[in-house]
Amino acid sequence: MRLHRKRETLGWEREMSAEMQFHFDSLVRDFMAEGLSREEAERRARQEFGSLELAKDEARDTRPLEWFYSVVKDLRLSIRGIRHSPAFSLTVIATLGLGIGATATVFSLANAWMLRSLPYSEPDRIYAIFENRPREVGSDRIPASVPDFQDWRAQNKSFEAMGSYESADFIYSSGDQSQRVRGAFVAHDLFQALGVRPQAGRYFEEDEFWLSQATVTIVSDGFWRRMLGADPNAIGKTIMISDRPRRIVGILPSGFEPPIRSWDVYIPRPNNGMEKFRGAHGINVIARIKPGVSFDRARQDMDVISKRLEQQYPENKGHYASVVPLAEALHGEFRTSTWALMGAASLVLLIACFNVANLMMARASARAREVATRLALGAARSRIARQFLTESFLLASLGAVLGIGIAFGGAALLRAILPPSTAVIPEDIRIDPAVLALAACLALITALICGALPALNASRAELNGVMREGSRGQSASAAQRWSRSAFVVAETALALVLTVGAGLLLRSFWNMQSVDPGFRVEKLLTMELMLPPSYSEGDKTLAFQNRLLESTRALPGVVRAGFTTYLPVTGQNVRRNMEIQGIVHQGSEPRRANARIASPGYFEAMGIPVLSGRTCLDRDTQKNPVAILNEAAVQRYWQGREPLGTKVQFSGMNDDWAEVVGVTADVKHFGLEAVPRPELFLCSYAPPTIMALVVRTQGEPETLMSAVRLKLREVDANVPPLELRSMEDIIERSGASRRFLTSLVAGFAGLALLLAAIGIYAQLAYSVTQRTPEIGIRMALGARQAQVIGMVLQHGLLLAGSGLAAGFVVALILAGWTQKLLFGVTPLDAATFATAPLVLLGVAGVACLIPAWRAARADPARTLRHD
Amino acid sequence: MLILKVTAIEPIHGYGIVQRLQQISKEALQVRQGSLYPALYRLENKGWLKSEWKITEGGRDAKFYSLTKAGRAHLDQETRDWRKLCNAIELVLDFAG
Repeated sequence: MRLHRKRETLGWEREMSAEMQFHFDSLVRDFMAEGLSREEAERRARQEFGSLELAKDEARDTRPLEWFYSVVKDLRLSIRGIRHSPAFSLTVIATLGLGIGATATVFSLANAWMLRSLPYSEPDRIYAIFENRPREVGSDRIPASVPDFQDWRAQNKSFEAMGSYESADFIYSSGDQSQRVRGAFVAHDLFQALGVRPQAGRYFEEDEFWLSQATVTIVSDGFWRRMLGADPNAIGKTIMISDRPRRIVGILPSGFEPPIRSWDVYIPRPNNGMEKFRGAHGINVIARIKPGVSFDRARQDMDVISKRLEQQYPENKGHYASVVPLAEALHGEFRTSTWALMGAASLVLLIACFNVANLMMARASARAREVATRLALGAARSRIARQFLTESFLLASLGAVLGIGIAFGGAALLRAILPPSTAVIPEDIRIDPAVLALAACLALITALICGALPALNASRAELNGVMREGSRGQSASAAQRWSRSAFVVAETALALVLTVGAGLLLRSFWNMQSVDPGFRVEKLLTMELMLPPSYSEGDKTLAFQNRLLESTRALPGVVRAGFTTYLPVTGQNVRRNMEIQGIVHQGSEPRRANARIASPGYFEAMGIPVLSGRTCLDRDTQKNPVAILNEAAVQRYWQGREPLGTKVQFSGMNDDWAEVVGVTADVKHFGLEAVPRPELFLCSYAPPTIMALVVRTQGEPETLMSAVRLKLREVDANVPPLELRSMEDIIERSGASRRFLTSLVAGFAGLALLLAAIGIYAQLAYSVTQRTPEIGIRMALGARQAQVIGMVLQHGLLLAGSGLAAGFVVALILAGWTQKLLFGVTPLDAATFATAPLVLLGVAGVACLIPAWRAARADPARTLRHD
Repeated sequence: MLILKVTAIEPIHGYGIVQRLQQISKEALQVRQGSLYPALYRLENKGWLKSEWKITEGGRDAKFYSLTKAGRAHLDQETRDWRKLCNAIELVLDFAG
């Protein structure tokens, strides 16, 4: 492959050659004229003129675009050099490709997160306001209650807009088609706080909130296009949302992404009776800070308000408003995972760099003769160093190209396995200019790191020493040998650190998998529904439930069925204040429990163990309410007394008291890793319109999905199922993010071990080659194969062992950082710290075997003759 | 400066310059003859020399260098500066001695 040479260069070169040739010939002619023979004359001429090549080189340096031409020449030489040592080049390119590819892949993930992270105007001015109860464990980010929100809004001086949202599912009906749409109940200035302006129409007005039925709605751009066909006259039209007519007063712009997920329909928050309860917490508050007001000022402002409310209202005792930047509130967890992944990828890249640096140093010392020769011919050291650097840049660029290719695959993989998350959407994970720029930077940096040392060393080659070396021509100064070993030790250490990290995560994952959710997960089908508002009068909901239960239980393959309000593990919840008759409350905070309504058959269908008493029966109705507690509730609030027979009441139950008739085991409601909280089930007491059906099946749950859906249609065709899935699916989904993180880190650890093994192998192979004469002598003197193997292994294990020790210390230091990501293990887990080094030793051992074996098989006669 | 002086007289090629210099300075300047050319090229880059391929008396092609106007101006300036320096040194030597 010849790079295109400019004609000008050819001409210039030719001219210069001709000119110098003329000079030289003239010298020869004149010397011959003085009487010297031709050979004598030429010798004298050479003496006088000096080296022709050197003169040409110096002359070339004077060319105006010299730097360009010499770079081109360097590139040509580099390409030739790369083609002449394919094994070396391919190894370097592959190693760099892996390192850069891994890092670029993780970066595309982080990039996607940053892209999605708050596409609002001036996102750093937006805050979420939670309620924080410092004295209650695990209660640092609780939704607000409506009265608190109203007070915050009225009394604050720091925020220019404050609004709230509650995620909700609605049913959009047009003609006789019903469809579920996602949306939110919005109060006050939510849109203003987020900084989004409708593309058509207006915001909600103050008098449109807190009505018994909201009559207006604002829709998303997507909804307007999909459901209304982008009707230009949509504003003012009326559509049916959840059985009520709503007039469209606004359409949001197309770039707007709501905080949680894509919402289509926004309804002003109606008055559903819970608004007067300061203890009922269910709304999420978002506020935009006034320009010029600092975060601290706003926090102090809210603290003052919190104290005031605490004094005025006893139920607010111990509650504080907590102001959190929105990005942190929504994506904080994801950020930790992303940092962990970036750390892991960086370690892999670093290990790759060490490997490549070693390879390059080995190659440089192999070329020491060539370098010495060029120096003798008068080449400048800087030129030689520059050419070596060019080579490493070229290799690094090719590695980066390979890395980008790998990153494409990596991004596709990430898209496929990404757990459902609010922080990132799969489509955003792609190789965009930012990722490409990163790859280019990495290539540059690795070229510098890996290429600089060999280049410097090479240019310092000692002429005499090199020329006198054995035929192998491989010399290695002590400094070089030392740094090569140091690199191998370093990369082994890093590999251990990564392995420890992966081990900790794997244990956490294992722990999560082994958690007992509190019920039997297999063969359980779930269906979440929402009834339209027409059901909220009288006993219609109860009747609906009974009919559906009856027809579902009749299906073949159904063992049991029951209803509840919210499914376990999903984390959906309603918490209410609770009163217990006859027990005086001791603590400073009011008693609270998660409130659910269960139908008869629920606990049996779920397989939740009953610890005492009974569960719901058909005869339990609203008229004589009964309640079932969970163990956490009993231990928390019953002060050692017998719970059966006591009477409890929730806020909102008017004057009804429910008698406790049973206690069940705890269920992991908030995800497998959370601690169970007090729960109270009321049996068939005014079930709300949101509910979930659970069906214990004989065979696989999926086989009954269509049958159950059909039964639902038969009972009421206007009720679409919100979700229809097996419990196993739900559990798997809840563990998805941990599985994601763990598998990626484990993959990186594996990669790191592989690269470290390659590094150890390369180093040993190299040192064996160096020591082949010595080995030959030893064997000739009677050393046995086993001894030779032992010698090599010893060297290898020394390297690995040092790396292990160093890595162990580093891992101990860094372990604390992983705290947030772990579950059920401490960062300094003994088992992990004991196993990881063993794994590494095993890998290193295997890497040592091949060179050792080869060394032992060397024929002493041959190796001795080689020199 | 010496090169410029030599080329001031008439267009001359590289070998000729070396010969002339050897005549003038009587072998006092000993450098590798090859390193003349980088110097020539630099002077040409600066615009003080211009070059042309011509045929020599011996019938061969050679590149002849001659002084440009700018080169002549530069040479004059350099000569003046050099003379000034020499005078100054002489004065000092006279004075000191």
